[in-house]
Amino acid sequence: MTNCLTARAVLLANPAAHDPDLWAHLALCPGCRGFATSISHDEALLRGAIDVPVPAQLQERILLQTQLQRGCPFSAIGLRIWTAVKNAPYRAGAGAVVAAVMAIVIWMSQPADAARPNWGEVSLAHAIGEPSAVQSTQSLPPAALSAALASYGLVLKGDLGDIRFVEHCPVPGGRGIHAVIDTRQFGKVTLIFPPFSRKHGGFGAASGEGLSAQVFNIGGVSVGLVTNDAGNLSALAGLLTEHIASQAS
Amino acid sequence: MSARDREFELAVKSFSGDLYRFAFWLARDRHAAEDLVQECFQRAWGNWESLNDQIALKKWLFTILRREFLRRLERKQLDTVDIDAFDLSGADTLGLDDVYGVRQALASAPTSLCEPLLLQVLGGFSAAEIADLNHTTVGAMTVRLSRARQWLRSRLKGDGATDAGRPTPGKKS
Repeated sequence: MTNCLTARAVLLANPAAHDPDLWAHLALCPGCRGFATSISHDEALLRGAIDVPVPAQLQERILLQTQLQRGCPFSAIGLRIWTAVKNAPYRAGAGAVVAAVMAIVIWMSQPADAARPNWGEVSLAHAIGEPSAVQSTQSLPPAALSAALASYGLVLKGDLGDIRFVEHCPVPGGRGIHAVIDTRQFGKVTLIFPPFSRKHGGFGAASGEGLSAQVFNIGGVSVGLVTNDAGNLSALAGLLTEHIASQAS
Repeated sequence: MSARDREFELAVKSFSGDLYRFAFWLARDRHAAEDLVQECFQRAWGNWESLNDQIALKKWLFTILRREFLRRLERKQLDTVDIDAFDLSGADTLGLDDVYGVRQALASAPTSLCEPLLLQVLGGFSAAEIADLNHTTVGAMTVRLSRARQWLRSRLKGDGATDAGRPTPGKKS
């Protein structure tokens, strides 16, 4: 027969315990019933407390990162990219989509130079692989972008447009920044910052799925820009250069 | 898409959320938590063929993440500063003050108490399974789980007297 001491020890070890002896004891002991109620309340609080928000793009980033690190051909990510394509705000014709996906697949199947990846391709892959970032309609305070830029020694000057997305993001070589800005002049642009240790010397361009990516020097940092109109890339780089500068300058 | 790819993607969709929460409360930092989850799945992918029992997948993933956390802890590779750690979104059905209090208590909990509690509440693991992960006995783990809840209750009541210290996780108690 379970006594009060044992009953409370069982409840503390596992409030969800299915123990007939415990239940029999609780039926007879008002003190332990009160204790059980209190433990249940604490457990509900604990579950609520543990339930911290999970980053919305976590799954996308894990799958993308796995694919990037594997450097292997079209597989799991293929379907995911198809899903992204279907949901992407930048729509392209079916033929172009197939060509773009295949281009990315071919790129991913090539042996990557881990030390000096083509940052334009990396940026394009991130824009495609995390469609929810570019689809975001939230409007973040400029301080969110300023804080991210500050980690690269950059400052934000004036109004660039609506800041839709700013997150630290795993990229080849470490952790970079993934930002989406809805500019008034040229529409949405995705910015992919390299890890701080690789902030200089990034290069490359890529296009596919109705998107174009190119690396530009913004305040001394090699940043991958991705947009849906290749003709706007240089103008966007100019706009960003006007509004983002090195703290040293 | 191969069977392995499908299984992996399903695993990411099924377990990444709980693994992230587990990592967050171990590392107490969002970025460190995401890095841990990323590393966990990279390692899982690399060893996917060695997984013979899909039913054991969740336990396997939690084990990988826990090992990675301990490895980084040993190498002091964890920066654990997170200004937004106590964002209360997602806890709207409970008293926010109470939930905030529990989060503050959890943030200061010794890893040796917090971790088994997380594995039980978040992972749904039994005391025997958690004991197995920690290389200890069921009895010792049952005691540790009881102590963890007692510690938490005393903290919530404002009684800091029950300080369990910060024993090293993974050691037999």
